[in-house]
Amino acid sequence: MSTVTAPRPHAVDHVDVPDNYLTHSRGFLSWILTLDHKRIGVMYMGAVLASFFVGGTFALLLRTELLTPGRTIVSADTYNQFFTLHGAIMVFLVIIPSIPAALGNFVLPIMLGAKDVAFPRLNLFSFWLWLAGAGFTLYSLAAGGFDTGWTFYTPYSTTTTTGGVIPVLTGVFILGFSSIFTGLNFIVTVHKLRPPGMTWFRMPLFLWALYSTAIIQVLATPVLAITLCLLIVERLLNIGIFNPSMGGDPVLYQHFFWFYSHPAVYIMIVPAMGIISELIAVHAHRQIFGYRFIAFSSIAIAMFSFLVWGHHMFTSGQSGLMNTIFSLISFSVAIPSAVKTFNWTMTLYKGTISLTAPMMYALAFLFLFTIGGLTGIHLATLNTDVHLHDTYFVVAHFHYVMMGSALIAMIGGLHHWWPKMTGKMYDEKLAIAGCIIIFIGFNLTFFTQFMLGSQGMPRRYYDYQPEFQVYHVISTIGSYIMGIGFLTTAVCFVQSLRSGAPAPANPWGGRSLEWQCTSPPPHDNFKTTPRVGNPYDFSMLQWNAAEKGYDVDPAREAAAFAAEAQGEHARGHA
Amino acid sequence: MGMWLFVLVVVLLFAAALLGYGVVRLSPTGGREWRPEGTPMLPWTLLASTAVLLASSVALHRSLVAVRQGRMLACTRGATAAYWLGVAFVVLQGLAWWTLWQQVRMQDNLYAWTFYFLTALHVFHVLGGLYALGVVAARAQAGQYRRDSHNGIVLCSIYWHSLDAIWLVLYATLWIGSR
Repeated sequence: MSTVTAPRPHAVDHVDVPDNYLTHSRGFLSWILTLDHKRIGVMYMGAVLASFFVGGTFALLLRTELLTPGRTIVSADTYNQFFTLHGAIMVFLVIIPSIPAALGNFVLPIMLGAKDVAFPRLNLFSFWLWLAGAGFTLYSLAAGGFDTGWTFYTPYSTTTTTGGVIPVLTGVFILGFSSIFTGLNFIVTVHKLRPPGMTWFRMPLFLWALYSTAIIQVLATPVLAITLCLLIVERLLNIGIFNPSMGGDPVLYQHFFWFYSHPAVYIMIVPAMGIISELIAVHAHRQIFGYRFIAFSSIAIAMFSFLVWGHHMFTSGQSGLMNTIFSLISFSVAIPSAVKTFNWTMTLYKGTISLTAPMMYALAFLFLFTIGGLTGIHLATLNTDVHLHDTYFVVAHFHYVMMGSALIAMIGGLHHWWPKMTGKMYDEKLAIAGCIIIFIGFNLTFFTQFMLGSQGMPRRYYDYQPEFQVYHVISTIGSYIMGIGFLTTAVCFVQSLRSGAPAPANPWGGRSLEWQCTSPPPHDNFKTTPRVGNPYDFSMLQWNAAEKGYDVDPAREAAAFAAEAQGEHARGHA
Repeated sequence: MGMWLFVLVVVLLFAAALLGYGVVRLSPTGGREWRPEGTPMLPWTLLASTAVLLASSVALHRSLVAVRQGRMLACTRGATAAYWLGVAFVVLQGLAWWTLWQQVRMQDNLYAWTFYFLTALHVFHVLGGLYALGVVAARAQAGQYRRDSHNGIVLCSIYWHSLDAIWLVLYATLWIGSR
């Protein structure tokens, strides 16, 4: 360097590499053995996105097969394996870990103001467990695949001759433990590692959502584990616990399965709702409306989630009384969900809305979740469900909730925290284009499926009546459009990694603690204990044109803290 | 607080397992008799193991009471006794399986399978508890607990007594179910 004579301002960056979590240590082992929650979160994100690509490919193959009645590209048996794999991969490898394990791991400790999660080694262990579970799931393909549907319903799952059933059950069993450990870690972190000043009601709503999710994960997942364990033994030794001819009961399996898998739906949607609370407040630059209502509705959903599993068995021969009870409780889930939706729209009302990519995803979520949620009411109604059960109506409903809501929120959250994770900005226009294409493709794909289902097209069928073909063709075209949308988003992210502009510490104007550290954050998050205030008070932020981000106006910050302290003082005397 | 959440998880798990047992036991399908002719009743060893587990719980409780009163020797003795009684419980359960295994295998019928499965599920949780109890006993012997600092014993007791209570419910269910 001593030979350089001409002034080269750009060289300064290369000499003085900033110390952050990405540059803190180098090499493959420094990642795979890391105890840093941020790196673990990034690794989860990579693994989840890779699984999403595989599951998505199966989805496109499925839709292509359904273009025409009868055989289009693959045989009926292969088709059965395709939809099973699509479902199993998307549920167990993508959506369940996507928000809590990937985004949650990255964001939770920083948002909370902690240096790491409570048990960093356990955190790494859950990631390894995830890899092992994914490995077993992949191995099941080599072992002959499986065609049971992602629900593994008995007696078919105990009698089918496909060889991959036991490996995939083992894989899901292991993935369950990964999920339990992550949940456990988050509960302890939220209880024990909050810095001074971070009271429960100063926690950003995403943390409330992750906390509720963690409780569901820890309480419900062991029941799935025991169920899969029983299923494996049943298949290996022919015990007969789910086999009526040997004194067992196949509906018992359904009860066990849905006792986990219904709460699992809330493992997917509750953290998504948490992300949306952040996106809407930050990108509308307005104090979130009804903070406590949103926080407690997360807890309410977590509690209700354990009491509604029977609505999956309205047509399985459950008693009439049970059906009525489960139907009633299922309706009540609409209340906390609506509380959230109304609070989000109230936050938008008179907000200063920036139509950034994360905000576009949040708006897409509002639209899609409302459709997904309201069609749930149709399905919770006993008599309409008898007609709609196991039709494409159900397929469309849960895709609106699991993909249109949970996954869209995850991608929106990824756009929101991308500058923080990578330290790079992305091309806003391209990201918004991706969002719009996905939104159009999604509705084209799945709204037609509501029509298909209400006209009686059963789900999972390989062949169909010719009069359904027009809907299937529209749906397939929609899925291709959606594929193009995801491709656009992927291009946008790759472009950002290669040549994105450096991200400022606070590009969106957020007030939660992760926006107070640099982008990307340093190895141990905070050099000093951060100062905790109201995470949704945006009044003290000002645009810094030099930095292309927001920074805090010290005078207004001091005023806000003083006002808050006075408010607390007044409340203390009241 | 966190320990109680964990106990809730364990209770939920066993409640689901016992509910499943009840469904299969009371199911009219198949029309078969529950305990096939010639299959043995529950082994008597279970009574002994129940007594041992209860004694272990009592010993651990005495240890907790002792440490609260600052009687360290009694605390160490109680924790150690609780640990070895726990080990004895596992051995007795093994003995019960061994005697039963001579006459009926788990894949023979649902009566046998539910017995082996439920007791195994419980023993696995006892083994986890024994690990914790071992740590507590060792730390008590090393004199690491004080009158005002003995959280380990408290948390371990909560889990250990819960397993004890679960075992009583489990045993009663199996006993009534085998009639």
